Amino acid sequence: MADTTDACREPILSVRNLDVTLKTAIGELHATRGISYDICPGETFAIVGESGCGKSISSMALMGLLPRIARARADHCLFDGQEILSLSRRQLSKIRGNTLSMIFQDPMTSLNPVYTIGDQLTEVFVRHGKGTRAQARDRAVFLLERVGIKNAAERLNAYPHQLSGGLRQRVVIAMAMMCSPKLIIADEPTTALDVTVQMRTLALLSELQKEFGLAIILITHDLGVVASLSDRVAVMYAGQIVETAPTAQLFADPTHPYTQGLIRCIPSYGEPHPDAELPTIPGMVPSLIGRQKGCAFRNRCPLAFADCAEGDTIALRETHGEHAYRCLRPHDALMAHWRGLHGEPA
Amino acid sequence: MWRYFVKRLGIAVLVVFTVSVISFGLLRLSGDLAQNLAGEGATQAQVQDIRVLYGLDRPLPVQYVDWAGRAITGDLGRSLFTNDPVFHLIAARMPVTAVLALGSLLLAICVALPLGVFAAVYRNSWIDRAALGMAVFGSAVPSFWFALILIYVFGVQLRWLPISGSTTWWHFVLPMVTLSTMVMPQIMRLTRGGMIEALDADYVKMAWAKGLNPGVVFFKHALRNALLPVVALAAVSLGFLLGGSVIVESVFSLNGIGSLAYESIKRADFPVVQSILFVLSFIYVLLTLLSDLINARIDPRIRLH
Amino acid sequence: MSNAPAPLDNMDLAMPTPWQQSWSLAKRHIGLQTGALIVLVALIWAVFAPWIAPADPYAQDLANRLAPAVWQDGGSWAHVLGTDGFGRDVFSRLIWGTQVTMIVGFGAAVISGIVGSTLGMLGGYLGGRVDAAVIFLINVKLAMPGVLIALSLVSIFGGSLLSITIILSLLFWDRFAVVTRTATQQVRTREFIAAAECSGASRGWILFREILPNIANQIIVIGSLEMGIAILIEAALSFLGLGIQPPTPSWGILVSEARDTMFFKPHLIVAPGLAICILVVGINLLGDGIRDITEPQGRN
Repeated sequence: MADTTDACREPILSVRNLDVTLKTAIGELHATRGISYDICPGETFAIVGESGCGKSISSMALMGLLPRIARARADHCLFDGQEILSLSRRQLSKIRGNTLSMIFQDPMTSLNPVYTIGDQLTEVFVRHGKGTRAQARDRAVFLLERVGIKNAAERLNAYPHQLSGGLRQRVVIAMAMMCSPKLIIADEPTTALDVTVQMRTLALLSELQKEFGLAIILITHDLGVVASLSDRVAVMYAGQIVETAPTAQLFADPTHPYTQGLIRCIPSYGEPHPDAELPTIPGMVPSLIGRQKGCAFRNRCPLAFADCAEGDTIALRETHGEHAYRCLRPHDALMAHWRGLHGEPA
Repeated sequence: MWRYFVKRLGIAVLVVFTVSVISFGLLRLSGDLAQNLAGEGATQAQVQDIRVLYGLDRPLPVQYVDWAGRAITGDLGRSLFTNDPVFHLIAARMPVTAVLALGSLLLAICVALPLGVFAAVYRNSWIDRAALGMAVFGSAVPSFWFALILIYVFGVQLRWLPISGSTTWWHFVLPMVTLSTMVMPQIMRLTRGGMIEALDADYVKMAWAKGLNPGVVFFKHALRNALLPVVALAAVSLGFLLGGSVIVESVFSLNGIGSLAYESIKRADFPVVQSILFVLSFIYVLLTLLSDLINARIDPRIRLH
Repeated sequence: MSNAPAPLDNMDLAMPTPWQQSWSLAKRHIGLQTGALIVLVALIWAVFAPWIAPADPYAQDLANRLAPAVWQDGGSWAHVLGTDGFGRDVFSRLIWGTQVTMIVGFGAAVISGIVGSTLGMLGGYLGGRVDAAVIFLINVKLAMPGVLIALSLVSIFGGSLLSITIILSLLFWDRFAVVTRTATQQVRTREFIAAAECSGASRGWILFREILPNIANQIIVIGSLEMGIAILIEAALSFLGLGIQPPTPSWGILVSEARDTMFFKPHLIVAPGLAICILVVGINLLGDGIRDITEPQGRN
């Protein structure tokens, strides 16, 4: 893992206070609130959280792919020195697929069924003026071989349905690489795959990243994936980042009660007894519609108290290094609670 | 692919056979043909003679095999009314109906396809609402009434277009407009629905994420996928228009298959009615096979089945 | 800060029941309300025609033929839409025509709905040969030119209300079958069907108690569509003279009778045609609205 404990001086992507709101029939839905992070060249930044916490929609906002009912606002969203939220559709489309590309969750549906792999790979290369059709073909063959597809030249003439899910995701990864991007947003890239294929795909992503010096935003609900691939993590809950830390530190000192709950839910973590029941976080995610008050996690939090319902939001507190969390409880009290969960003396 | 197609062909043949049996049986249910032929005042002996002459005294299955055997060779029998060979009657009337149905289908597609695409792309906009409003109206308007209104407005009041007969191309304008409203709403809705589905699909999000131009995204990536059900519908619609032209042909006094069928039904000329039913279902089945072939061209998943 | 266990405000939304949800959606659904209003008016006209209609729809008044409508010169409120070529009150005939239209439309939709849904559910649930047979029947039905078959059958069996209703219902069962077949296949794979099967429920029980309620809203939507088409085709058949027989006031017959005088009395054609159009639009809006407020997707 690259050593990025110090904030890099020139982030490839810098997001400050990103708010995404959706207009719904029963009111304004706050999909994300005050999302801020920096991503350095060559690092993997994981955003983790359960479905509906706003992790996907925040990246869709960066790509300009929000649904029509959604609006994104931010203090800034600088990608490669450009303010991407204020770009016109035309200008944005010159970046998309070029220096900023995306890998979608389901490889079964993210390839167009009626065109060949080759057609879909080469069109993005030609579109961004990287070269001729023949050069695009060469590049496609090179990348398909690089992602581990045999007979790459022949496979160019194949249709998506002729490939297995794992192979399709490799094609999608190759497609994202066609124009040598600086940043790839990978939205649950392995969720739809078999477990064995998942590990190989993750390994491939991490190899490619080192080889080509990519930055990756990895969006996932799976802390196992986070642990194996990312340099830094942001944990999201109900539209906010509730904790952010270098990956190793997050697993060593999970501070926010929600992070603690998430980590305890990993089967291989938590209880040492194989027959013990896997812990879960009780309660439901609150509605994000209308004005949000206080801490969103308070109805499920074992440490909640009256003040948790006060104020517009809970401030993000730094502990040390790049570790920060969004909770009223002091760090010591939270760590004592974490140790208590494992039966250690508080 | 070929196995699939051969299977489809087998089913198609079976469908045509079944339809022919049904239409044959249906029209024999209608009463004593010999009595009809002989007329009101005929004696019992005369009726019996006619029965033997036309082979109506034989068991029904034998009559069917006899009819079907000759139908395959193109001999559809003779009209009870004019004694002309039915094949000639149908062949003489077919061009008018074919032009009418094909023209109406083309007109419907030319209007409905772009409208459906725009309605899907600009969902919930005024163009979407207008398209849906037109579809609601189009599928609720009685075609015979719409034809009369068109005649009144464009033929009588404005005097722009002829209102009956088929001597010039202008004569086909109003009938085609009328007939096309019978299929336009469905084609529009299906195009719109297919486009909306395609536009929400991951591969279209992917196309946007690749930075492709809107034109490429809409027409290359979305429309081709949305087109599959529309092709099948267009084939079915053409079959429907051939059979459904009876109303329009009657209002505009066009001498097509529809009016031939209508006249024949009214004067109980059963060999003609039966043959028209048979020919139309035969054409319908051919059209569905054709749409399968076209869809196999569009969608590799069918081609490589 | 206190360390007492948290007294928390309740952040969970109370989930409304499906009926409450549908009702609250219905209150905002203008299409549904318009459709319901139109259908309601048509129903009232049909049921209460004898009391609503100002005159006897069959009573001829040869001295008062082609009387003008109320807004024309010499028109009177006695004959709001004037009289026809036999001196009959057109407005009364229009109201009585609702009866024919609603009976035929509703009857055909219900009969074809029962036939088609049964076939579709059997094919979708049992699969295999039964399903193949159902698909084959659907293909045969689709290959037959419907309007011509209907015309031939009416010429054979006559144009009574009953025979027209039955003949039309033969034309429309296929769409019910196609839709219920697909819907049944989808429902069949759900857990509660497996649970019912495991607990030894009979096939009939599963079809009617477990599957039918889950696909009912789709059947209603198709039903509204087919009722509209049945009304249109009944009018067309009657217009061609091979449907309901005069002097029974069917809207198709009203148009057909007014055809001879259309160049100088166009309103006699416009009125019944517009009535058909509005009623069919209303039925379709009602069907679409019911789908919108009962479908799970429509709930977000």
